[in-house]
Amino acid sequence: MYELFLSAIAGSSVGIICGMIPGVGMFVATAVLYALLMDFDPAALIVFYTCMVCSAQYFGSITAIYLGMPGEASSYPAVIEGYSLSKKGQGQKSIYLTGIGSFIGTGFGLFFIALLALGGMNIVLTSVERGILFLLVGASLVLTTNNKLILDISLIMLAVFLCHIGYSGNSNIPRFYFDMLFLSQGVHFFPIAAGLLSMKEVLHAEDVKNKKIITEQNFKYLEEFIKHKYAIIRGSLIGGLAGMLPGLTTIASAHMAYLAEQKIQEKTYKKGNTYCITSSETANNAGSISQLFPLLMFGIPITGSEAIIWSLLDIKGWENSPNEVIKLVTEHWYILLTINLIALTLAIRFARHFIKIVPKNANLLKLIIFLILCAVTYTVGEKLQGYGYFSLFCFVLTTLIAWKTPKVSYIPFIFWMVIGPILLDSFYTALMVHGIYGA
Amino acid sequence: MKKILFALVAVLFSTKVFAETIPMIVTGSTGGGINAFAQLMAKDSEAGRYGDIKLEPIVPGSACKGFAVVGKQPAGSTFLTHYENYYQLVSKLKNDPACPYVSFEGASPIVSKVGGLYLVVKTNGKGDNITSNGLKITDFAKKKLKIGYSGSSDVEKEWHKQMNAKWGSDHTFVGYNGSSKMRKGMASEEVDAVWTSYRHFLRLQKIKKEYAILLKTVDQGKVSKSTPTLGDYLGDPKLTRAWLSTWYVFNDKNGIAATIAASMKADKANNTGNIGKYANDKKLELEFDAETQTSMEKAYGWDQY
Repeated sequence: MYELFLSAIAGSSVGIICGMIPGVGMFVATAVLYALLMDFDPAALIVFYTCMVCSAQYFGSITAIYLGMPGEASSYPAVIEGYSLSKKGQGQKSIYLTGIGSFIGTGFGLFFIALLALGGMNIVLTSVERGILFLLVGASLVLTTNNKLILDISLIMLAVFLCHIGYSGNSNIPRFYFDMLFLSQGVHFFPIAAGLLSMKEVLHAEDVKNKKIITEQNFKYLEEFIKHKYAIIRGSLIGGLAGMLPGLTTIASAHMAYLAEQKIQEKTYKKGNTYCITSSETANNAGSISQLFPLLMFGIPITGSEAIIWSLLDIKGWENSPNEVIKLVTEHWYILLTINLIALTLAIRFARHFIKIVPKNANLLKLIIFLILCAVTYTVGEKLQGYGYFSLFCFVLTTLIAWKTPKVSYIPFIFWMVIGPILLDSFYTALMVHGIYGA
Repeated sequence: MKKILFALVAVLFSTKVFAETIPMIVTGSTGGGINAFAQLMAKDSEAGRYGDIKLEPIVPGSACKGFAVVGKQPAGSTFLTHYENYYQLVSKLKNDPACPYVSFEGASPIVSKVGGLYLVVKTNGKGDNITSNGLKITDFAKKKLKIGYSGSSDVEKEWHKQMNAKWGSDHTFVGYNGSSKMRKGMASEEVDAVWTSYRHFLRLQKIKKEYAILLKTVDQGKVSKSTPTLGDYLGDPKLTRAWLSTWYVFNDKNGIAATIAASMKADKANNTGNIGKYANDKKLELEFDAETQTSMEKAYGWDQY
């Protein structure tokens, strides 16, 4: 109990940093903290991650509204609407509405995934079905990138090739390691993901300019909430569904709710619309919960940070099942509720103070994160595979690649690296089940 | 605010970096029993059940990968790892540098268990007793069935062939990458039967009370006496297989193995601690005496029958 509360507070604190500091997203945070998170129990890890994701959404809107900078990618609608409102002296009102919306969105998200899990209680996938589901998710990720199709296909093929290195699968003996022993352990996705996703996010983060926060106007809290209730309901529903879109999750939630609300407010819409920002911020919190569903139910991570959490859960012997979803909602609801209430209060009451943790010049932060990730990738490689320098080499190489290719999205590539071994297992098992390959 | 956050991160890192822990290298799959046991040992060590001894599980993901990490440990360093008669045979047969054979000579045993294998089938919704419409033991001689195993090395394939010859049937061999994947395969009904541990049988029953044990390889009192043993049923004791599984301390200093063993033994007797409760729940028969454990290595082997 005590441990779970500590995990929740730690997750929430990390989420605040992720939400507020451009370039320090949830993937960067989970990568930096990887070695620490290895000590967490599966239950503590799930609570940590859920609280981190929720808090990041609350605080992502603060930088978006006051500074016009999205701490989180899902906060772009908040930048468009919220920053305009802030310039009109309505920043505090925006923070209040997005906070209340986020709180309700989180509650709705929990309710929604519990319902889905109850509906799928008896689903156990065969190797073929699991393989097909993973393939569909992997293929759908391609749609989320702006990469050329040929590039995405090449990257996926490269990922599948890398997954074969050292793959032992059902035979127990590592294969395809070209007589290089360090390859017999396989190419772990972590250092590559740390370079291609984390460092990419860090390297291309914007600097915060000196922006002034405008004096606030007063408003009536309850009245505003009642006025925006339908925007909150719409945001919850759209966010709950869109949160399960692989690779897009909270970004899709926020943007889809935003566009829907813009359409609804079509006649009266002007930049700085409180309904649009409330709906989109509600949606990204509902999405931050529903994105957990594929992970907990089927063991499919649909974001980069989930991939890291999944790998940590896997080494703890954790197994996905509908019960994991039910457990999160029924056993830990009060922890999540408490953390969300704290985040809501902090966001509404102390938003202006939290703005101070946003660094003016991100260069030092970038360097620190790079050095920490060097240490983490070396340690993880050394511990899990006995080849720390190889792991470090992979990280540095992929960081260089990420630096030189700012426009390329590597999310499908990393996803395929994570699911590759599972897919290969399913593939070879299916062949044996159908008597094509085996004894 | 920045200073507080910096201090928080610094404290978290320093507690991790400077904490003195003994590596516990898991030489099995992430979802298998070896890792499950290791995680519980680590929890007990964290709770102070082994005095000052703190264990840190390292989970490379398979036996081969685990033993490769064992081979990379600095000479003379203290660490725990897991012995299994099955892997010893596979690594000896393969003689592959990526799947190294590690000698346990001189290492100190902590705890051993002999795990029998159980032929588990589905009973078509009629509870955990075999009924007229469930799969019967005689069906193995009449039908062509798909039988799941937790791996697909030559050792398992050979066992499968020997049993097929005795059944007089040509059952399909389905080897999974680890016992938890095999259990999921059984739950999804893509195989008709699995040779699995008692732990996984219990987990299958948690999903639905529709599984039953048709045969056992060793008689350990976990299942009814009336359940036949494989050797007796097929008339060939050489078909018997059992996992001998032992946790060892390499370069034991200050009696680490003895301390952990004594604590575990007390926990099992009193049904306390994570390991104690787990062992009783899964009806594990654990051996803590060092000399007996060493002699067990010679008594159980996949290749000796």
